[in-house]
Amino acid sequence: METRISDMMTDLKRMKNHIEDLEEENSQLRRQLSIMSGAGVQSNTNSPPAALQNLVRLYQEGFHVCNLHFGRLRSGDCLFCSAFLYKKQE
Amino acid sequence: MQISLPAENLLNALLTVYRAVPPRTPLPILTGILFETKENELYITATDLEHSICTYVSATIEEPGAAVLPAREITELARRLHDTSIVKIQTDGQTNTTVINYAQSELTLHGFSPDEYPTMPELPKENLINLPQQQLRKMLKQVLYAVSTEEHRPVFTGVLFEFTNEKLNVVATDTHRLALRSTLLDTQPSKLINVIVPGKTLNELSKLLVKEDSEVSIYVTENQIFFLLNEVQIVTRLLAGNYPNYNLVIPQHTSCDVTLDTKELLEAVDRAFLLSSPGRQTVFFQLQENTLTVFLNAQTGRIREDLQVNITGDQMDIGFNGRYLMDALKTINSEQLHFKFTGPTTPALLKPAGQDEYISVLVPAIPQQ
Ligand SMILES: [Zn+2]
Repeated sequence: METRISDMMTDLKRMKNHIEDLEEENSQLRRQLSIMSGAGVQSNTNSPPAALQNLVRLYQEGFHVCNLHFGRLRSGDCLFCSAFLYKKQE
Repeated sequence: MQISLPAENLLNALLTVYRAVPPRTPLPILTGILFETKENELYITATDLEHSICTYVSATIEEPGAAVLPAREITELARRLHDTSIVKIQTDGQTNTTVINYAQSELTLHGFSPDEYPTMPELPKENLINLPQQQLRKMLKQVLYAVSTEEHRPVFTGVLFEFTNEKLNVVATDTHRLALRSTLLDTQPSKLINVIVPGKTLNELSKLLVKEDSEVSIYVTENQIFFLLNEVQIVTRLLAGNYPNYNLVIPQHTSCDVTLDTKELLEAVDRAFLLSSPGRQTVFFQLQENTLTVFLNAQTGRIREDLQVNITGDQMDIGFNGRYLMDALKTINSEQLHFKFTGPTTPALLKPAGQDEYISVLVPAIPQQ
């Protein structure tokens, strides 16, 4: 019984942390989107195109741009993002 | 049930299956190991419901039957007995109490009812393929380091097995690095399928792939994979979900190719990594003319090592997570290796010189803004 309660407490704590992470991620995304929509105005047709530049910036600011986790916070560098950006540059 | 066998044989069998006993479980019976007699053999099974390991050992069967004994106690007892001493195991089916006699001594264990122990999945009739044990062990060794340990994206905690008519590809990635090992098959598999096998089970399997000149037989059902080797059968649930198209991250064209001594590079990176700290694990390369400079500047100091190498293509500066780089370098089983770069921020590829069976792909470290 005691271990079951302590297991439940651990689960609850994990869920709480997860929610906090999601909220943090959400607000970062919102901030990000607003910056990007502003950035779109001054975009030029020079290479690399603005869309690619935006993706690169999004990645550099810590978000996935790959189709596996698009828009999610990344931990460390992502092979799939990096390969995707490389294909775009080619 | 009443059986007797040498302590050494009992211990070996227990140690083989013990890996499948869950360290923590809400089901008390899973903390037990199932003993069953079949003809002149004792079958021993453990499971955590995700995967099961079963093995058999010859024993003198005085009275056939079954028992579930507490895993830790029976294994630790067997470990503490003299190898050659004969252990007599006697279970009362009514009370699930087992008396274990050794030398002049006796230990009584309170077990569980074998009727309540989960039944093992049935082996399919037709096997998929047989592979030499050593071949599978080498293949697994070259990819298991790249398996993810993070549970939130389950497919990455597994290894993709891709069977084609003439080839088997095994692939692992944790999205920071990727390893792909291929092998030509002597015989065609009975089905052309792709399955994702949990890395945890494969780690255990590879420790059991010890016999030279012996094969492992693989069976696959819709949601399970069986490995049969020597006296052991391992079954595990397959991971559900689609494996991402890994070909997308394997560079097709590279802009800089370096050929160098594997051991020299590994040792240089290992020394440079001494100056790393938890948040700063990047080891930098400077590729210029025929020199690869490995360096790391840190608060504690700085290191710089020049390696004489063969470079064709663009010069560049690039950094990699030192831990990931060393993991990859340790799997290159040739004196010389090719390190191929696409650019300072895009995937790089490593492969043993003169071999096309194995590649390892790494993402460069890009400083977060
Ligand atoms: Zn990504």
